[in-house]
Amino acid sequence: MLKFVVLRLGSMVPLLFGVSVAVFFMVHLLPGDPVLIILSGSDVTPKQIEQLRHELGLDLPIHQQYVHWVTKALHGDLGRSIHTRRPVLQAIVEQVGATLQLAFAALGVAVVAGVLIGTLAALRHNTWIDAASMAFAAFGISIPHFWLGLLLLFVFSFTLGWVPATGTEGLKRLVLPAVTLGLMYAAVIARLVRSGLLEVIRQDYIRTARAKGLAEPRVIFGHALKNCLIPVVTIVGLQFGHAMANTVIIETVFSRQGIGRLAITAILEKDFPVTQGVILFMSVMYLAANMLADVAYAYLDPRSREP
Amino acid sequence: MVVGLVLVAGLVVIALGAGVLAPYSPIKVDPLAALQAPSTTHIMGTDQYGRDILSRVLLGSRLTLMVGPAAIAISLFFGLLAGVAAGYVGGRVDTVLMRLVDVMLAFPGVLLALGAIAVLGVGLMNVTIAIGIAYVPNFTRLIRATVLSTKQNLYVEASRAMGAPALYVVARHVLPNIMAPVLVLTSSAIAWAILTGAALNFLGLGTQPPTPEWGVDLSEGRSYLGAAWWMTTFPGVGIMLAVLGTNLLGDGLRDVLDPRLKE
Repeated sequence: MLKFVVLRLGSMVPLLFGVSVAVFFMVHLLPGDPVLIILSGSDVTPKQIEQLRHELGLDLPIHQQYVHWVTKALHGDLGRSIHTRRPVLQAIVEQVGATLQLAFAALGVAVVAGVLIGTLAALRHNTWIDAASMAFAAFGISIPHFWLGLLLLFVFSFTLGWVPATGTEGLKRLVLPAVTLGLMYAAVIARLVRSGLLEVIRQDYIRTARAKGLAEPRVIFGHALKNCLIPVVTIVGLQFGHAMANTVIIETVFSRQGIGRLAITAILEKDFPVTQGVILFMSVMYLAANMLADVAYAYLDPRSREP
Repeated sequence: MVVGLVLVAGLVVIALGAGVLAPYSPIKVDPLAALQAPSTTHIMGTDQYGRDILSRVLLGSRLTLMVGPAAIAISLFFGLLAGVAAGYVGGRVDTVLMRLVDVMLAFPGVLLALGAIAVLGVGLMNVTIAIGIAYVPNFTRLIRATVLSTKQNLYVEASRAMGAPALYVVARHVLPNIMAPVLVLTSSAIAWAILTGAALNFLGLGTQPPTPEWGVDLSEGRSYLGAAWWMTTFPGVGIMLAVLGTNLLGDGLRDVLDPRLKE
């Protein structure tokens, strides 16, 4: 197992290098001089232009710029925001808590709803419950989550007044964003659990469990479902990274604080250090989540550790 | 598949005929008719400027529905080039292209699109290109894998042994045999692209008001959610039907073209 973890960690190194190069070159891919683009619309002197160029390290040869940038990033220095002049890392650290809270809550909703709906569909295979569950899955994948968020706000906030419409503090304000984001992933988990369970309940060991006289709930939850949940672990790990990225949209719908909103504001304001910082941070989180999912899968299913 | 086909065909007909079907101008401001609920005069109601929602939904379908196919055409073009090169040529070309794909896949699709918009700038054209770029690695991987298995076939080997140029072999024998999985991925990719395009427009990164577009209209309706539910309901239903139709069409195509995947 340790060998698997070390190998998997090792495989991340070239990817992290590639990600750092891609994020670094974002500024250099801009058509024209990035300094002039950043300063567009404001009256600046040539001295100020040179100062910003020096501050961003853009007056160095390209390979030195990369080494300089990556060394600083490894020391936690992602530069300063062009607009607020605050360190980018500080802005990310301030916002990441709310985003992580939303992503974890959404995945919690996804797992609970997905496993329940998937199990119900498999146990009532070829009935109206199965059809309704799979219709839910089809809608869950197709419904625009930013629209679903608005619908939930209209019903539960504006009409029923059960939860506050906007803001970040408190569990009440987390419910609707978590359900909005979570239902999309619940649909995928429900499909996975249903097809897995349909396959497992035809296996010999399930027939044996039933022949032993075990009660049906014990057969399903104690034997069948246990084996279906292994791929769900992987999917949840993969979904975590996507959920982090999709908070960009959900945070805007519910006017929540978070790194997603930080990214959108930075893009609209052409605040490149912040944009670069958030994209680098999110992709590292995404890779780490994928790695953890692989490790968890290998732990649960030792066969997958074989190369 | 039939439902998917009907939905997609219906929406395409609406988008094409929107100019004739729309009862009002989608950008004509009428302060006296602001925020009117659905009625016989305005079937889907009006927005805060008194603009007719039905007309905006009909004409907005054009841009929303255009983003998906246009973006995925970009993904398909570059995915085909890179995937065929990696799978058919192999060797260093394959190694370099696949490492690039690995790096691109290290970013979630939405994040990759955001990064591209940060570089390209705000606007519908750039949103389309950004979404197109974000889906290139998925096509490259699939096409490479199918090319790798197709080129093992005897008829490809025979063609090569007879001295046929690589381009001829690819065009005559490889491409026709990889089209089925590519078509299935194209359909689900278009659904994702429509959804992502509408989301990016909703965030203000693409089409700008007053141009009618479903994502933009949802964003404008957000401020009037408590007072005018119709402003967000109808564009939202439009996006959902478009994505649902394309997804169902993709599922149907998959069942027809690759029956092994059918449950």
